[in-house]
Amino acid sequence: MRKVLLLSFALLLVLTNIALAQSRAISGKVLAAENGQPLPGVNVVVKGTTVGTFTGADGSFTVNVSNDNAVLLFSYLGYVAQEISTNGKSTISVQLREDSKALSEVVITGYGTVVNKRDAIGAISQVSAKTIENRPMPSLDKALQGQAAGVLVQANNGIPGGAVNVRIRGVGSLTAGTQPLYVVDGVQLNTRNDASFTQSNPLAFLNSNDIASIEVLKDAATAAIYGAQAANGVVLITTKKGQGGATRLNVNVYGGASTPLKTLDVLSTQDYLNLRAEARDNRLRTGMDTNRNWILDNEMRISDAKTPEQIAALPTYDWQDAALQTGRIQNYELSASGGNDKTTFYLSGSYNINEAIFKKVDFTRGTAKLDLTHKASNKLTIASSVNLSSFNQGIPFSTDGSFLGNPAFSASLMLPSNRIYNEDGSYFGLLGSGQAFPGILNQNIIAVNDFNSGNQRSNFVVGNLSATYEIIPGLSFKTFYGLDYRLVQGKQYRDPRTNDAYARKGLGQVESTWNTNFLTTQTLNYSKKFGEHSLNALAGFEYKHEQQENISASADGFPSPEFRYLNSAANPLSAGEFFSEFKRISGFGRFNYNYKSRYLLSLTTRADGSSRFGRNYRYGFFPSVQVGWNVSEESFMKGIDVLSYLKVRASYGTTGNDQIGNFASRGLYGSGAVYGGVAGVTPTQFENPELRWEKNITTNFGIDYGFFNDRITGTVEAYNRESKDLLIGQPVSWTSGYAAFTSNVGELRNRGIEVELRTANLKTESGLNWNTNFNFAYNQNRVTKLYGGLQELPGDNSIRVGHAVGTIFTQRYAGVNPATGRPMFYDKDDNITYIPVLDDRKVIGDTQPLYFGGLNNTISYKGFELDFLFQYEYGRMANDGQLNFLMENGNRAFNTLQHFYDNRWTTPGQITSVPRAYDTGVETRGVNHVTGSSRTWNKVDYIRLKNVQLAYNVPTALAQRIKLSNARIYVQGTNLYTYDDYRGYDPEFFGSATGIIPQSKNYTVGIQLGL
Amino acid sequence: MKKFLKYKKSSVLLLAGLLAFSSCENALDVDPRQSIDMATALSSRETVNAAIASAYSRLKSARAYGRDMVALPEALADNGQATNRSGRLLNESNNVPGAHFASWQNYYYTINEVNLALDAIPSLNLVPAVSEQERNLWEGRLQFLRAISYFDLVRSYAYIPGAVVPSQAKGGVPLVLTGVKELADAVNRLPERAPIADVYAQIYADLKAAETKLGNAGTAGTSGTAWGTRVAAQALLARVALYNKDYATAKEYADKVIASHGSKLLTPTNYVAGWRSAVNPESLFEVTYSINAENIGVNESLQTTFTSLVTPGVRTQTGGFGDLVPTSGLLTALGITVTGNGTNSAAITARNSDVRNLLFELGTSGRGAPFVETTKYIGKNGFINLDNAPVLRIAEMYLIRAEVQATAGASTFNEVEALKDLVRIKTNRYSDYVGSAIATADAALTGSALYEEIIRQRRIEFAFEGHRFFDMKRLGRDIVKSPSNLLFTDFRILPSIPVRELDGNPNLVNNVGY
Repeated sequence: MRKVLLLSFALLLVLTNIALAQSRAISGKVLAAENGQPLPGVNVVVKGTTVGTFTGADGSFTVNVSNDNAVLLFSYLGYVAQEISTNGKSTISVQLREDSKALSEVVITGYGTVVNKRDAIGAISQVSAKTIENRPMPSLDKALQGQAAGVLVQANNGIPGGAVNVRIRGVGSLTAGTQPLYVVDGVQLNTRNDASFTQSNPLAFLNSNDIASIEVLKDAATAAIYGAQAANGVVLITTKKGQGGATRLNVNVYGGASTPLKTLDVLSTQDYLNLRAEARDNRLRTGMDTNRNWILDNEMRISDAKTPEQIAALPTYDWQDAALQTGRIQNYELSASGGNDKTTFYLSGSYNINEAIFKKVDFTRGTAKLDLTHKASNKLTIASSVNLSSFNQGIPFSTDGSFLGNPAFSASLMLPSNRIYNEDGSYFGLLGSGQAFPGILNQNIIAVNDFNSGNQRSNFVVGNLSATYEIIPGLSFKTFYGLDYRLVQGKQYRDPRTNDAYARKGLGQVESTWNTNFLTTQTLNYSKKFGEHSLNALAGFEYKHEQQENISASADGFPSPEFRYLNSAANPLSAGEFFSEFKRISGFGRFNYNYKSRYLLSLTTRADGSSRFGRNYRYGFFPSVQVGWNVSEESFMKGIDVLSYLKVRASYGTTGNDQIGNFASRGLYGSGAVYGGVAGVTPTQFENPELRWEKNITTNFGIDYGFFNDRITGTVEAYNRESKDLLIGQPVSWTSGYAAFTSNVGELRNRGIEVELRTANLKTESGLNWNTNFNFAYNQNRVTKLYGGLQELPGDNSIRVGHAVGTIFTQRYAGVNPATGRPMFYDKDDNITYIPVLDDRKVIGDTQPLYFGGLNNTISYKGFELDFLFQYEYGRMANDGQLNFLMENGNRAFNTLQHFYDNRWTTPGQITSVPRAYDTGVETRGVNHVTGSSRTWNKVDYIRLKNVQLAYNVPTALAQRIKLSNARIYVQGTNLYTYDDYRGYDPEFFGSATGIIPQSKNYTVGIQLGL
Repeated sequence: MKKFLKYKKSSVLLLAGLLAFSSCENALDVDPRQSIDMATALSSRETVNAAIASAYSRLKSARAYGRDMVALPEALADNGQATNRSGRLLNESNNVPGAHFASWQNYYYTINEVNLALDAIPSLNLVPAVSEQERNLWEGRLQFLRAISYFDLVRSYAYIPGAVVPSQAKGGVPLVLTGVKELADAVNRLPERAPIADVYAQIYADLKAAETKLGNAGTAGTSGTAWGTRVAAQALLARVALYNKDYATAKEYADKVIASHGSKLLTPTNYVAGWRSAVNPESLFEVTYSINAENIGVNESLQTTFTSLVTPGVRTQTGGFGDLVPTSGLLTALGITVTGNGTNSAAITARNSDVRNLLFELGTSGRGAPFVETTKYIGKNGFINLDNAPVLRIAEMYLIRAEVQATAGASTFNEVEALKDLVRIKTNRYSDYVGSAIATADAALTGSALYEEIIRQRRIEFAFEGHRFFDMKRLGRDIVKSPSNLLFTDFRILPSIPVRELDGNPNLVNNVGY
């Protein structure tokens, strides 16, 4: 009885945490092991309690402990945490080592669960803040490129803040979304691009220097905690949090320039004339002189040059040079972090300017972030994190496409003989000027770009509020509320001086779209160690509601170009309004168990109910299991010195994909049609009550290894990812009145291997360190089943059973007939034909890379650091729309690439791959040599030096002399070098490439100061 | 006390969590706000009217009368040549395999909308009840629309009766007469091609029903040109019968239309003005564009397809591309003499007295060397690139009647009456026809000379209105053109049925050659 009483008394002591026990003060100093400098802001906690403090500016601390055997825990971001037993001492000096491994010792696995890396069982790639720091990229998804095995990142184009294609472990869906779920500090983002006038990548809201770490959950078992949204993987972004202690201010400024990766080598006026004359002569056979004169007179409109001397003297105008610019890059940041043992904060603001290489396309962003954590009592912690962000983008004529006024499309195709400016500096060839502007590209695109205007502003609030209450030790309840609010406002004005709006006297368009995405999560978390057994259990409930609204209007008939707002216009053209929403309720749970950190087990499950799905399938269930074995913890491994670490693990799990339209399961009549002044209603889709989530089942095997005392570490993963019940628009005969309905049919599979290898190549006493991180991914994608025995998806021949999604099924180019110069093709029996028909198509490749990855090197020596990152892709093919135009080689009044001109067939017997020039491109009884064959598919294999950074850290002693805690100077370059044989602007693009703003090379110089 | 407070705090939190949970029990019920439920969509007067408007609006598509049904018959035949300014219609004018009509989807969507509305009307349960007149107006308009849709499908994708290459004939087009609302109906809709005759029979049935239901003069459904009317149904049936080599019906219906609307024929003095007005006074049915929001725009509208001009006669302002322009053969037929067409020195040096050639003039130099272009579509509906497409004009009835009466061996054969109609047309088109040498010569025309003059007049009268290719096709004639002729037996006379339709439907057979 006495014992019980005593015990309950002790328990009471613990519970109320009163300082009745004898306590004594321990003081000391924390220094950096590398240079002996004091470390301010180190968190010092008495292990097993919440008692703690932070070191002051001189690294000193004082903390009260209640018993002689208390253990102090010292932790500091970027340093290896240390535990020190007090053993009755009253002063302690501690040296913290910098974390030699690039990555921290813990991983985050969703819903705030932090797992020691040794106990983690999932396939998780981690990208630390350091590796993406100061990269001049507006959106964080781009920063992931080349950093994580199995994570493929491709830029759509070079619009700052533009869309980026991210795929984790291959394409897992045919027509539903293939992008992962992004979660910022627990808030699940809506990453749909809602912008109409330019691409507004929602992930560009965050200043990537506010990111503390990024975890990519790759295997279904780990991602299953996110259930029906996790089929494409989950990217968890954790932003920087406050660190207690003296307030630390950080100033970071960088600036630089963006320049073109390359300009396209197009023809001079003389070559162009020759080409077109030759093309016309090949068609009409009326003699070169006749046709040269005809082209001069009628196409180029040059009447005063007829003799060879006069022709040779004709100038060539460089339209690409006029359309391109050197863009500015600037970034200013200020952050403050500090607090005490009750309250910590992180506060930051940034301002970023990023101009593209095409004029007027830019990105200007301001961000403010406040992160606050407050311990209201020993049991209650409240926290909030708010990100405010607004970015403004100057808009291009169009983000892509063969629009005549689109400089990115037209600059390289423009007739080289067309003048750009008049003698007096005014634009040549404006409408109404009387100056004719010859060619299909019948407008001065430099003027068009100059006169047109427009911008798009995206405003964000991404924030959360939470409270965590410790019910009993180990068991806590967390209530979490998140908001992802976004307002995208755009405005575009087509100037009445330009061709597109000359007749209509100007065209103005405005559009606003706002998304409100509300999320609340209630979780119970239980952590406990029973002797050698540790367990962690999580149970939760979640509710999400997302609404999207939009209004738009347009008008034309403006009095003059000075008037650019709709109220000035004579004719209102359209007014639009849109609303959509969806809701989801979910319950989830996870149970982690390990025995001596040796045998690991994790069970996860989630149930999701979504308003998107059919009425018979509202709820989905996503279970998973993971097991792991830390082999190196076994006693029989202790003697094996070479192998310092070995863990094997396996997982099996199910996730879902719900990335379909909000009302895809419904039978609907929509609006929008108008006839004879009557507004119509139109049947748009019939009901599919069976519509449900797409299922993704992944089996994953992984090995984590460390050799030579962890000088070499890494991971090997092998996975088999089966996607079933694929959400596709299942085609129906058009004779039904519909094209397709969203349905769950078909299966596909991704199989692959991922390797991550981290080596400490050099580690010398003198301080020279060289670390390499290499990652490699191999992925094989196969459509394994369609429906009804079909081998090809009707209407989409790129989806074929037994082949990858995005398979290229087309006619095969057979080169040029050496006798005639005509383009030849293979028919289905491999015979030569000049008119290939649909029957002649074969599979020639696919559009997904077979291998991809990155190689990062970090070399440091006495304050100097050199980082360089290579990124590579191998084995995919792409159809570059811009290149196809540049390949026409005299078909019509477009300029062409020098390569095609130089290699064109001109004389009988000549062996070449470029057919003879032929006006219209369609030889008698032939087909256009540019369209629809293997000739327009290019191999996209490249290695790119993605990023190089050279930094110098001013020695602390020196920095402190000028009252700074630290100072760092760095220079950085992006996309500096590409190893490829690609003829278009850039092999690294995703999409059509026609008229896109290409990516750029960036150079920046910066300085970072700690105050 | 302290403990109690703590307890209270935690219970507040738990309560908040429970509230959040309970407040979203019915969370998954959301409804769209721009759409209505299909099951109950067509259960009011308003939605039935709106459903009819939606179905008619499909005629405006660039794959129907927005461009293709007007421009492709010119490009595929010998009336239009491509200028290669935007590259559009180049392949069509060169008869490249595959460059052809692509109206399948649009018309079958139209037909489904018509079928759904026709299915819904009998079960409408409204207060006040649907009157017979109301129902007739709805059904008449819908059946007229279904007839024109099937007619455009069958004349595009199949041979025309009496002009068939038997070894290459694969039938008509699928006939579907019920609307699809359910998944199973859509998935199981795998129709085969109905015989050509069956498709024509259905078109006849719909047009005769429309004729009856759309009432007499003075009642609803007889006025206006935007919707199906009684006279529009009659006029279309005259054309369908002409194609069907059913000369008696063609004459019967041409007679009916001329009797009621024959006076609409324009004269040399108001011919051009008629084409400049929003609705052509000769029109019996026009695909109508009322507001600028319906504009097809600078790439594919009729204006941009045919002319670079913004305003007739104003060559300093360039609008559209002018992708398809008259061939020299057509210009000759129109009585236009041009030098250097398609060069910077292009000029019209002479015109004959045919007022129809006043709708043809030199385009601008803004998109390359100028050609003679047509200005039949010149933004006459108030905005650039916004033009109604006249589908049925009264002049056609005279020419149909002339043709069936000049056709040797036809039951309607009557050259005297045929000549009368020909003279009527020419009197209304040549400013100095009466008493002219041409008139004298015409009066002596008989036999094939008379017949060919009627066909030639059709070419001139309907230049750039979407007739030429079908006229050649229904007559089984070879098309003589540059760069190479298109023989009637060539597989390229027929388009490919969309491959995606064939892929998913084993019952459907494609035309040969694809």
